[in-house]
Amino acid sequence: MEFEAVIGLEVHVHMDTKTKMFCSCKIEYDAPPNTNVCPVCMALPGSLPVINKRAVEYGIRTSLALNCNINLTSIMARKHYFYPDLPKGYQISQYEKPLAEHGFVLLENKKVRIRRLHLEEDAGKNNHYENSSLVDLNRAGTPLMEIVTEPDINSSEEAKEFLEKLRAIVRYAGVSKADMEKGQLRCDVNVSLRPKGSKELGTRVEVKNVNSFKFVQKAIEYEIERQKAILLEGKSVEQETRGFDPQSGKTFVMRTKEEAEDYRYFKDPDLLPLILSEELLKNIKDNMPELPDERIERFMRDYGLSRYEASVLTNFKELGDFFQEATEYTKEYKALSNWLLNDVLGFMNENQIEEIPITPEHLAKLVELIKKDVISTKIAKEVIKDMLISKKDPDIIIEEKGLKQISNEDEIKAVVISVLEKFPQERERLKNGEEKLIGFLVGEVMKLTKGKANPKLVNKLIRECL
Amino acid sequence: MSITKEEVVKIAKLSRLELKEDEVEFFASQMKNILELVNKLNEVSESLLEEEYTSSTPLREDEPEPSLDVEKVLLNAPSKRLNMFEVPKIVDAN
Repeated sequence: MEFEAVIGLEVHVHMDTKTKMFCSCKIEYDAPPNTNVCPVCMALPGSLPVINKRAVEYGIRTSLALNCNINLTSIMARKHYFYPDLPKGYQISQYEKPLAEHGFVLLENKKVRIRRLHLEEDAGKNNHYENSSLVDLNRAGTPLMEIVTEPDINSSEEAKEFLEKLRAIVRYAGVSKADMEKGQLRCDVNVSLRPKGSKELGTRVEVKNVNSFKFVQKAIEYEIERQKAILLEGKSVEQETRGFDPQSGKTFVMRTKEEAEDYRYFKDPDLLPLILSEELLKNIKDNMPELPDERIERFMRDYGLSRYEASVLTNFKELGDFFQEATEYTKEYKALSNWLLNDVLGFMNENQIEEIPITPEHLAKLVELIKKDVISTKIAKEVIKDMLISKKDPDIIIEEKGLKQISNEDEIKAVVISVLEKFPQERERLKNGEEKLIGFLVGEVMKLTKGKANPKLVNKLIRECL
Repeated sequence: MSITKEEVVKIAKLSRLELKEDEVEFFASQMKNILELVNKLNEVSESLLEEEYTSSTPLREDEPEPSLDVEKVLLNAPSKRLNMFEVPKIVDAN
């Protein structure tokens, strides 16, 4: 029997605010333990939560970017469970009335619907020590958005594509750095199988807290195989929560059905409903940053780039920003994109460098130098290698190394004459119409001028002097 | 409106409360009374129960303010180590 995987994702995204969701403690990823903690974080008696305005705005911005309907009135709710990293004994979240609902994200070949987006807070962090666990509350109260998809995803590749797109969207919306390594984007995966063509949903297994795109793919692939084997044996899949072990690439049981939580959600009496004004909404709509799809279209339209080039410059936001800035210094857009995507990106990949080592102005200058025939493309390849390491201005490199193209006719003519004298036979053959010999003679001139002669001029002068 | 012993045991477990056998029965009857009392609300017309919110929860600007000194944070901790709260080892069911 053939099976079809039905996958839904719950993604938690840290919002890039300065302070926590419900108090004014700083958000810092490398602060010493328990230094960004106040009575609200610790749930001391008498402390009261007050919502961070920027977190609400970021939530709205993301909801708009995900094509959601915004609920002008949404409710904060308490979700109860006991864990040492949760001092209140509940997480403040949203349940019945989330901030936003019914959105979608467009992938290459499909539309993944977004069920809801809600605001909540992160818990503290447990560090496991010899015979005890140590709790650091710095992270407790970090503003989070939980984004839940409908089960519209059918393969691990689609899940990865969705996550990459979502990450690009939140980065472009300027609401999160979404760095998975820092836990700023975490993902729970729901997987079930059903016979191909069936409309009914199978029993769903939740894999919790998978923390890299690669692991999400692996966890899904493992679950599909595991569930397939169970179903083919004629048994049924248990509804359960599982974890993913990156070392073995396997998922394992975390909680059994009998222990399934009853979160006892109810409205948080400490917080009135969150009521948004039309004015605030309009203001956020009017000031939306450019989103990934918009950038791709604009780069194709305004700079004549291919969809592929525009996509690369969009997926690597920093690269696209770099390109954008460089366009202020040159109109050779296509060449600019070529140098950036081939030489600069190639160098960065080869040396595993995250940051672009040169400035947009310098790269644009290099492109202009080629355009103005100050250097040839071949010499430029040498110059950019130097630039990427020394970070110097291309003008300075050309000056220091004496790489400036020779466009002085007399100077080149002298070299051309000497080459023709050195190779009389080749000269004759070219004269008699053996065109391929022009390449050889140009090459000889280039050798003598260390590649600095203007190739167009060399060509022209050889023909004149035959 | 009744509440079973099993429900009491389940609720106690979620709240991490340990009940003796006679306590289960005692709380079952108490909870029954509470539920009956709350049930009286069903007699009220629904339109009267519909909430009407006039003002939003206040929002604060995203500006940092000083947190507590770590010594103060840990002042009430029964056990601490490396400036963190020390708790019995957390073991996940794996």
